[in-house]
Amino acid sequence: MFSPEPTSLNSMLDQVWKDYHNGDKEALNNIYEHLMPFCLRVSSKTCGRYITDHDEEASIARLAILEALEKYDPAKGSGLVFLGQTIRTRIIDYKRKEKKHSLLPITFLTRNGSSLTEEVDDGFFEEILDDLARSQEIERLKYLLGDFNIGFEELVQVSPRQTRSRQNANRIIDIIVANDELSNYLMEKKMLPMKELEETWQVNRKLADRYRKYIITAVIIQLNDFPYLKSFILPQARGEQKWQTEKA
Amino acid sequence: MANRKGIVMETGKGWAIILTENGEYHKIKTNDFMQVGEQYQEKFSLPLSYIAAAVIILALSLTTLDYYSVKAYAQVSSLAELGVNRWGRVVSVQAKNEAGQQILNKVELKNDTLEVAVEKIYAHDFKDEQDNQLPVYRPEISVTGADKKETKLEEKMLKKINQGLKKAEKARNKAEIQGLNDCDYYDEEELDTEKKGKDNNVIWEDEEIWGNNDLDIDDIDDIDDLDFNKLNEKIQNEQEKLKEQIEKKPYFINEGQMLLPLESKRNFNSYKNKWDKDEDIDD
Repeated sequence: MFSPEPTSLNSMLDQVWKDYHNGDKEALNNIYEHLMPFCLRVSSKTCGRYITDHDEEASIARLAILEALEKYDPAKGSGLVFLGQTIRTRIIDYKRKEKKHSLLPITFLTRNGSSLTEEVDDGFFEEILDDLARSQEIERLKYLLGDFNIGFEELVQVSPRQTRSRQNANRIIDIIVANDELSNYLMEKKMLPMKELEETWQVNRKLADRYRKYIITAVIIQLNDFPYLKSFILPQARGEQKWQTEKA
Repeated sequence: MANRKGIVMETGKGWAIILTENGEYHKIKTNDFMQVGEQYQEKFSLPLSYIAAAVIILALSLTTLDYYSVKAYAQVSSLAELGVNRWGRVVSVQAKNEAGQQILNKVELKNDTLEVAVEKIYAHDFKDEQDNQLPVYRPEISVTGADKKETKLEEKMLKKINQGLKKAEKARNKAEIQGLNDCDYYDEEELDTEKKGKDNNVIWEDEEIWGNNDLDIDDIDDIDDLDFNKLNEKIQNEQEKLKEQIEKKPYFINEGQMLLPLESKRNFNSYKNKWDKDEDIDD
């Protein structure tokens, strides 16, 4: 359902390379599906536009995977970075060929980000891997929020705008995360434990109800393994003091 | 506005939802290529309309500032000192004595060109002296630049003032002939005729516009003395002359009783069609 983490993807690629060079030509099939999101993202970043599986650039990326497996040497560094370099080089070659038939200069092919003519280092691909890891987190979060009928568009509408309201909402989040009873109730019943919050924690019911979706999203992020998103949600990251979560 | 940082949570055509560092969700408008999971850094850019407004305000304030900055001072006799800007307009007025103060109380000199302002002072000075049966003197004027380097400006100002005074003297002479008081004659509009272009009176004298007609309306001195028989006779003579011309010259009269040159007969059909159409409409 979800792609493996970039670090595990790297070790998977190393294993596939070994198998491939030991004569197992079908080894690539095991990892191909997991590699494609990375390949498409490298293609998108290189072209400066969204690349789908049906684009010409995606075909070039597929061919580049085979080329990378042939030429890769584990002693020289990360397999994913090498694969990324190969895809980027092949796409640039393709664009240069295309340029001969077009009046546009090659620099016009990208609107933002790195230009095709620009040299990129390993950091470029590491950033793509980070982006991929974050996007996987977001995909998982989206999947979990689906059970609560919450979409990101709604979160824009219901997020507390004022600092004071946000602080009050964050207090409720911290209370739920710190108490297994409350968090279990939330995950099982798919609703906030209003009565408990109101009676035991003197939480303003109106406020909890108004920012219900924001609170649920933040609790899900904190309860699950979302290291990238957590850094945006945790009070320490926000520069706020953690709320007193002991019973009053 | 602080530059926001965050993660791209969702993207669409021209928009993206960002989770910011303080846990807020924002929907932003953007034409940049963004993908879910990317880090976002808000670029600080002012809207073009704000920049345009700021430029206009700055230009206006600079122009106003420049307009009211005195580039030269014109000393009119011992009456007043006029501060003049780079466009030769009076922006500050200071009376040098009581007589000057009295004049300045009566006339508004600000925003006038220097020659008009000097002429106004001259005119009122003249009037006072005439009322008191005193001899009239042309005012002594000296121009000094606010900056020492402004010698060219001083020369230009003095030239303008002399032109203005000459014009004023001319006007005064005319007024004296007509027996008018100088102030009665004085008309600011007249002083500005040069700027407004050709004098309207000239148009009435322009032969090219009115033509050199034998039947000149100027020949008729008074409408009461108008002899209609004589006038009819004159018109008939004109018509006969015209007929003779038609016989001599290659002109023809078409169906619409229009006198047309013979060359245009080649295109007679087009005229005919036009008239035909008009008749159709009338029908």
